[in-house]
Amino acid sequence: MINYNYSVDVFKHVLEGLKINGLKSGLVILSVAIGVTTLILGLTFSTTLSKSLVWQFENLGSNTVTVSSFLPLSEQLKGNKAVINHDEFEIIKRELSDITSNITPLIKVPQAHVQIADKSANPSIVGSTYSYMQMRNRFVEEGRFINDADNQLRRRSVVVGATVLEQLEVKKAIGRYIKINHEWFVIVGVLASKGSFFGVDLDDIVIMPYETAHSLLGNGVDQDILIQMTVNDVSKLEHLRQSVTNILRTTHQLSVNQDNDFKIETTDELLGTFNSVLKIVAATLISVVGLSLVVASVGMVNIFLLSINERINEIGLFMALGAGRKFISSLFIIESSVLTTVGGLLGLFLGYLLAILLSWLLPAKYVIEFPFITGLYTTLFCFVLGVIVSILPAAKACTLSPSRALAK
Amino acid sequence: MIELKDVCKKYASEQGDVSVLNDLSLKIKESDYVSLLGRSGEGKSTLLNILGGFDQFDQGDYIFDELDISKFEDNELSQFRMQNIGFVFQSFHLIKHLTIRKNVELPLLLQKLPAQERKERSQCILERLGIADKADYYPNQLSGGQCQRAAIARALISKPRLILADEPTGALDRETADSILQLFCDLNADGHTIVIVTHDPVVAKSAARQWELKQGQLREHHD
Repeated sequence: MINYNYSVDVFKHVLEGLKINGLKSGLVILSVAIGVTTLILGLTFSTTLSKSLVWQFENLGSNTVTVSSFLPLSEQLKGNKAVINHDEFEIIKRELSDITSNITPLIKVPQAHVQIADKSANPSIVGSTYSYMQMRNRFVEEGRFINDADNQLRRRSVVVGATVLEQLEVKKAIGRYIKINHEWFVIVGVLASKGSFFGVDLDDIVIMPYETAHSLLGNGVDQDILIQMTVNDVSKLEHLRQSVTNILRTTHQLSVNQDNDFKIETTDELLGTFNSVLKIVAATLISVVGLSLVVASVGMVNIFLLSINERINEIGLFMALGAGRKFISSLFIIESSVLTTVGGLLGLFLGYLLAILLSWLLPAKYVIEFPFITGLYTTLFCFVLGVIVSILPAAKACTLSPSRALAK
Repeated sequence: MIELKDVCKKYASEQGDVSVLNDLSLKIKESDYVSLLGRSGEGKSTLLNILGGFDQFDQGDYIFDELDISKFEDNELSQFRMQNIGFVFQSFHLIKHLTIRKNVELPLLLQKLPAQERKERSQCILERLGIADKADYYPNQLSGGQCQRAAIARALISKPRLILADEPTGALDRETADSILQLFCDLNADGHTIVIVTHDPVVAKSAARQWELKQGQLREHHD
């Protein structure tokens, strides 16, 4: 049975001993703290990024499906090109109208140049429809979004992001005319700011009606488009996937042996892909830091072995006073585990502190997410590390002969 | 109380086994005050280590209150030391980062006594040895004599059956040494059993019974 008061007294005795060798204690604490700080810093940003991914995708919903062209690099190097064209969009829209809603095409206008007076910018320009606003959660904070009439009449109206307006130094945007690739467009709306995502500025964008973009790029040319749609019933996802596959394989005239030259992805799959990458990064980080802590623990074993020589009289005295192996071992185990746990806690504190400081460099939309559970496990790990590290020195101290220990 | 019967102890060396104790026999009664006199290398420390339960011996018996110590395992020897022996060392062996009170309380800490009882008993023993005012001092703030008094207090606090003192005045000047020896006499008068190991005949004379260790054997020493 554990004698609580006795354990506390022994613990206090060990803590008093820590005062006399500040350098040794400091080195052990520092080596653990550095490892843990690195780990926490890395995991904090990994978690933050992961949470921000969810935030980015959450408005798309798990019933959103994205269809895009896709070719492996080996095929691209052969000069092959995969395209999903407007006609295929129309077929998909028509064939799947009973199980989908909010289906929208999306076309990119490459190498676009936006100009107003002597100011210019090179934002991403996409052509889409009103559905884009709901599916991508891109609402306007001023004016209106492009509507079906804009699309049908191929109006030259655009919605712009905050970064574009900043670059063009436009204060009152609504109703202002801008030139896109030397064609005049009128600004009908300003997008609410979304900050950046994986280093991509989401506000550096201009959205124009899909048909307008299509005509701008040349109606006769097969433009590669991306199709986004919402399936009415999640249980129909597999049916939708199969239907789209059948349509595109037929229109692309793919033989039985040929792989798909397109991708059909749900939001969850996209999110899963990003998250799996982040998990690999986190696992690598944990492995590297874990390895460095193992290396550091070898150094700690050495420090504690050397400390036996420093404390040999004390050990001999305790033996003379009747201390058994259990007590002598506990001196080392408590000392070591206290130091590594303090190192772990210091590392947690520094890691979180640095994460907070560094988070100021991130756009405001990133809410720093502390991996508290990981912090708890890390502290436990540090405690266990301390116990493991002390086993050899404790065993060595126990085997000392009291008379020889006192004679030194 | 204590009986060593035909104890032999040899150490291995490059020149072969060196015999330190040869069929050594010794009897110590309750409340005895015994000095073991001997020159360096005569086996004083070996004998003290055997009496203190530090070292095993090759042959013979060690009976302490009818217990055969030679058959004890390591953990039993630890318990034996804790309950029966109080050690006083030449170099005091006070832990420098602990106050005198904490040093004196150490045996009671090992006996798992609560803090309040430790404090009361340490205060009592420190007062008896005249260093109560130094209770919160650290060893490096005390003189050699005061440190040895603290070490004696530590040896006495657990009320051991036997006090083993290894050259207790070796690091002290004559005047301080005399006061420490007087303290041992007083303790013996109070009923404590004391064994002093020394190379100094003057110190040895302070004991009621004097034994001289020569060529691995003890003989009673008379002035």
